[in-house]
Amino acid sequence: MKRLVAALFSLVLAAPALRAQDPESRPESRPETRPELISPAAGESGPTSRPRRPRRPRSESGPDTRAETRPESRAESKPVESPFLAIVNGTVYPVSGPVLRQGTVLIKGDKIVDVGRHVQVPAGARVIDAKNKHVAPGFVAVRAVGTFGTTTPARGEEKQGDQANPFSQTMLMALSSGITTVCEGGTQTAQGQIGGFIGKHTYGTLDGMVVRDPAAVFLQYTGGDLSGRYQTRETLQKAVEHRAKLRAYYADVAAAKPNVRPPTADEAVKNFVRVMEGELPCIVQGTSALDLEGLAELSLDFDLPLVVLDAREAWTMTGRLARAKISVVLTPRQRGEGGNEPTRFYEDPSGWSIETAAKLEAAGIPWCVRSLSPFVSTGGIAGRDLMQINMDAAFTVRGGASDEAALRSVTLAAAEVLEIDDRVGSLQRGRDADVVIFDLDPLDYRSFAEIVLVNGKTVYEKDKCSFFNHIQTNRAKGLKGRWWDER
Amino acid sequence: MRRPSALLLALAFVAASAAAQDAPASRSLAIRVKRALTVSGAPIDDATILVENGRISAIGASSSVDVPEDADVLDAGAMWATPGFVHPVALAMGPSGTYEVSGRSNTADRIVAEDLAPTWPGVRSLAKAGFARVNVILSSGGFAGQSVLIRPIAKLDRPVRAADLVVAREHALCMAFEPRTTTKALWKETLAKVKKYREDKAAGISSRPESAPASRPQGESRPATESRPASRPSEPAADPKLMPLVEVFEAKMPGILVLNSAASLLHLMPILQEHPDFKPALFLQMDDAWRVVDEVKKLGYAVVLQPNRVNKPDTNIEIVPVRDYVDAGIPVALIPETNFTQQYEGFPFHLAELVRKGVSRDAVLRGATLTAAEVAGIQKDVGSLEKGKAGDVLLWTADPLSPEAGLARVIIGGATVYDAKGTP
Repeated sequence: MKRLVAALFSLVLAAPALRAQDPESRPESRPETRPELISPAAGESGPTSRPRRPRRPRSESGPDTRAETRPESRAESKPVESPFLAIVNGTVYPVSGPVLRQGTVLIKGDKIVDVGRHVQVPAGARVIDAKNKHVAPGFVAVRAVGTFGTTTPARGEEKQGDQANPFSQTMLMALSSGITTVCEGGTQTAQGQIGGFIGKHTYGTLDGMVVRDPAAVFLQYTGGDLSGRYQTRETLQKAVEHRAKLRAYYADVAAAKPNVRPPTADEAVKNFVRVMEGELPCIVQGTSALDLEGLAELSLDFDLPLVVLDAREAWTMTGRLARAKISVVLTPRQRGEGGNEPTRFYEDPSGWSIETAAKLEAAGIPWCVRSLSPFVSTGGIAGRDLMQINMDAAFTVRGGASDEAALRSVTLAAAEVLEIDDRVGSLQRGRDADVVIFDLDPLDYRSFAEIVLVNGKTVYEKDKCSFFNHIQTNRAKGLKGRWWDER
Repeated sequence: MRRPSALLLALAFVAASAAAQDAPASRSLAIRVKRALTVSGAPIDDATILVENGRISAIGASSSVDVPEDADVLDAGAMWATPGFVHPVALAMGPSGTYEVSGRSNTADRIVAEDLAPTWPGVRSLAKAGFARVNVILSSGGFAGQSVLIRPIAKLDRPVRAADLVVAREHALCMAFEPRTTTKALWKETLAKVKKYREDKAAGISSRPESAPASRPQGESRPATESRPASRPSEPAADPKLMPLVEVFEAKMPGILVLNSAASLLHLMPILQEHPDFKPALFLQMDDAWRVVDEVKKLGYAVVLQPNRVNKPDTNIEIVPVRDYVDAGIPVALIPETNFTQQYEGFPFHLAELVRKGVSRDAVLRGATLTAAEVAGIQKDVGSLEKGKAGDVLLWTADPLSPEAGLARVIIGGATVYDAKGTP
């Protein structure tokens, strides 16, 4: 019912999932012909499977290094290229379902068309052999800054996507960490301000970059600001009334009554109705139990789904939050206001608990994880910025959360919080082909993203990118198992 | 947006009579050189170039050119000759360093005419670097205005005025774009207006001007075109500001589009692709031009590049963007790496560097001369050593595309404007 009503509103998003039902997008079920296997470890990749030039010593970078400067676009046009790309033999983490050993992810164009252990790979498909590798959905960062080349949010008529730089080095660095989708921008106000931008790291092209703009309604509702709280409640009361009028209006339209007119309302009111209908998330900051108490009450009073950022003390009131429509975004490695620094808050009780995620999971409260810093940082304290988002997720396991939930917290759960789970966050038929091939379990502290695909195109290859290509992991050196096995 | 840091050309000069330029010496000049790189054709060994009335009247092997008895003969038998360089996109800057537009018309024309303080050293640095024509543009947002085409002159007996340098005013239309929602909308809307105007015109629709062009619009005004709708009632009305753009569409006026990042081109590309008739040259004033070679090829535009080499980000892998563009078969005009005329002298050395990095000699020399002239829309007048073209000849002590070459003499319109030996 909720979706039905939503469909009547003018701003419903198209449902790309329907496309997957298109019989043409299903691979033909003819007997599998043995496609040429191309191992990424052998220095070649699927989408541009050309012979790779031998790497020259850097000191001799002469004319022939051109081939390395732009591997994607320099590909010679081939006769007819299959639209299919298959990632085979890997350990596949669909997130929406159980892990598949030796699974196959079959991609057609920019969509995933099949995931499973017994998928027929169409003849002629390009194949990436992910043997001994781990295949996961691209990570979704709920809050990020600067990966589209600017740290200045677009204002007024300007749209973030219209000033994005698809060649941003920051974007490439985020991709090297497996992050394919982010939400940027947005200003929290008492009346709720629509804004922000959800985009994909389509390195090298603008096609398919924008997922949604504006991204969400950003709300400020803190304990100390009484007049702000009053404003919020007043606006929400109008939203509830407007929503009722809209329902009546659409009922009249459906009944073909004459002379019905759509109700009018302020933009802020309309935006909250969209939130109530589940079209847009409403993102609000709330760290302390006092803030959370107020937000839970707000959510219950107005039937308003809320996404609460940095809910450090959420573990104290899981029952209350579970009854409200509240999703929680955690920064598992942040203890207190002082963040990383020894400030005056450092010695104070912070309200933080390592078990927060586990308790939220047990209570059935939707939760996801964001990194402590929303930036890709080349300064400050290493290991706590956007590039270590998988470490933030892994940390929740230390507090008792399940491994499944931890991986979910930076993929599907984050996509659900942003209301984009019909596009990204899981490896399922019909979802966007945003796939990361890791050399180890994505939550392992030793793992590297080796290949990243966005919309079915290779946008990052560890081997060909200067960030990490010089790092030889134990695994790459041929060592197996744990460190003690080798000594 | 990276601002034109500087520029200008120094236009200017000091003294000497414009009359001497406009009416070149009636005596003809025969220049005999070891090898003439004509650009338009094969190099000629032991060549003689005959310049009469400021134009080349004959060029060929010395044995085949009849030199009039009264001609001055310049026997440079050990030297190489090339056409003069052409700079199609010199960015204009006011005398104070940065040019402030303060509520006045901001055409490059006005800058040259009113604001530049021509100095002899400035003009001399143009001449000394071998530039026969310099197209001064103004880089600012949107459709910024029209350029002024200037050339160096010989020293005058009186103080130089900017007007002494000018070959043509309102010569080319310069445009700029940086990726924003509003600038994208402006481009889309403006190009669509031009398209509609041209369609209406082709269909013979006539209508009255929407409003009389009583006041000169800021910036892009062009007196000759302002009155056009009124004087030719059979044409559809259009905003007079659009007329230069219409001329660019119709290839009657050169158009130059300044872009500052590869991302800018990706943002603008879908809009440009809707208008296949619109073929401006792209001035890629950016470090990452190498990223969009395929896109430029698809558009079919010529490009203007500085000969810099860049490193791939975060690596020491060297990239030579010019080579990428030349290899892709895109016409490449080459300009100095700097906007400071005082540093233009290094240009030939950078050209030699390009050759050393694997760009073909033909492409490099053509890029600095004929292709640059094509971008500036003056290829019928300059850019190669051909009969009928302007008598602009550079004399070099050695192969001009080798690092040891020195520019010995610069002859523009048959008159020597620079001589390394100190004369004139």
